[in-house]
Amino acid sequence: MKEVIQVRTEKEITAIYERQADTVWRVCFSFMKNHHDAQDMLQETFIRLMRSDVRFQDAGHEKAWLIVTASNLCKNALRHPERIPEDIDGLWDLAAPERQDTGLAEAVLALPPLYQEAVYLYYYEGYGTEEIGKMLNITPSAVRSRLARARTMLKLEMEEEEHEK
Amino acid sequence: MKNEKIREAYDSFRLDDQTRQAALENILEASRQERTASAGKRKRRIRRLTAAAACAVLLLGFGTAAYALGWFGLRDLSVGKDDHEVTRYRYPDGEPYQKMVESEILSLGGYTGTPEYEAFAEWDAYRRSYVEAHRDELTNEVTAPNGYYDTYFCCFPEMEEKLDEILEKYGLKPVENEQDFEGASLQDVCDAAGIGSILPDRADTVWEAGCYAYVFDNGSFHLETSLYTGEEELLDFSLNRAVYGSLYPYGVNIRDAERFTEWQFTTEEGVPVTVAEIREPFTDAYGQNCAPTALVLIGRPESMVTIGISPREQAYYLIDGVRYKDEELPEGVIGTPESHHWEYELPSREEIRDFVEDLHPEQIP
Repeated sequence: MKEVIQVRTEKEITAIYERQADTVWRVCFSFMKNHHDAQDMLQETFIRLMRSDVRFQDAGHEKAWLIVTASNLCKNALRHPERIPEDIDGLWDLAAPERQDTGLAEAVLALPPLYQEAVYLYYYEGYGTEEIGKMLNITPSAVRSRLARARTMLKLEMEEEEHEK
Repeated sequence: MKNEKIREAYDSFRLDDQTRQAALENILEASRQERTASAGKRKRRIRRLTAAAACAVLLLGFGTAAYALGWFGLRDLSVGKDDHEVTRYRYPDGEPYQKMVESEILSLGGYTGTPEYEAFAEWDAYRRSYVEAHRDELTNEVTAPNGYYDTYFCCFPEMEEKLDEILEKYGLKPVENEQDFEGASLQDVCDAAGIGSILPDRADTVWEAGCYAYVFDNGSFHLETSLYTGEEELLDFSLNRAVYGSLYPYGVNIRDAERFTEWQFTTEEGVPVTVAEIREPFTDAYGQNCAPTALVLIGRPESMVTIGISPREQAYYLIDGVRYKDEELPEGVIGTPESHHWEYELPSREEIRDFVEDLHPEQIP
């Protein structure tokens, strides 16, 4: 109803950023798989927040909104060919310099985008399949199906890695 | 494979301090740039009346007799239509696109025939056409005007002169000294506006979320908040009071007239009330996805009161680009609008009536 687009103060944006930046980053990084694009998407998500007049009911609502917005932005960005690719081998130097065992993390990153959201929301954020269904606009059974397939993919990936060792 | 292992994998996608800080600085810088641009453009600031505001001009025959009884309707507040280019977002990928929509503006300061209405209609038409004609001159460098000229978004000296001319013509004063509230209680806002408490009687079982509000020094104000009953969230509501004798600077942007229905009742204290309601989700002129909404119109001896009521939305908030089945989807847009649903409905007419009674509009001068 108003043409002044921004309805949040810098203080509010900063407070929400402090609370949710890690979550949004994990979503963005798992989709984009590179530091540069993940930062872009992190910024874009909060710029969307800045322009949105959504009033959050609680921290859970706030987080859910950001996760869905970040996911949508990332999925959209992945369709654009100008995305900057990054050498997967150098990825861990930027994302987690202290981490040595990156097998499962790499397997998670290798999951198709279709499964990324469900896996992240279920295993990391602890949402139930019904909640995830609402967020992704799919049925709870579809969520369970995606989780099962993703889990199978991860398991196979890890088994292959073990054999290679 | 243990769930914990998957969690650890995600934990490894860590946001380092340098990136965290750099991204925040970029976000805030973008915010500052947009605010500057927004101040420069100074287009109309039509405030929300709830998550929505809407319209309809299917009107019942409100005429002189209706005014005498104290009832008036949306048609009596309409000051005209305008085309707006709005940004929408495709579902589900969030891709933005532009769309032109026609929208209607309602006066919040008085109904047709009153100086407040006539002045707002004239000012709004002038301001719109002036800004449109000088759009190219609006830059980020435009300095925000001083005093009440800022409240009325006067971007150029000519606009300031015109505003003063209209105020003089209709014998009205400007609203000034806006006091903003965030997270305030209803009582705080009422105190600042110099009116009695509008807290519902059921204050022992109903409590409010923090208010967003702005209050002018003549007692005109606007507030937005939520009321809860026990564990269950009840509704969002906004209340706008425009004191007569002044030019209220904001209107309500309405859109789909055909979907509103109006009905009237008189409170137990004898206050005539008109309710305009839309019980289906809709989108407003700026592309906001809006919940079912009721606009409550109340004429008081010293002011016009407009209350917006909508249920709290759930699923809607989760998807930025949600759209609805009655909206025409542009080419290339994907999505199944019917799959989105609203978990809460607009309160029944009886509940709306009880809610308005609880706010004791007779206590608002």
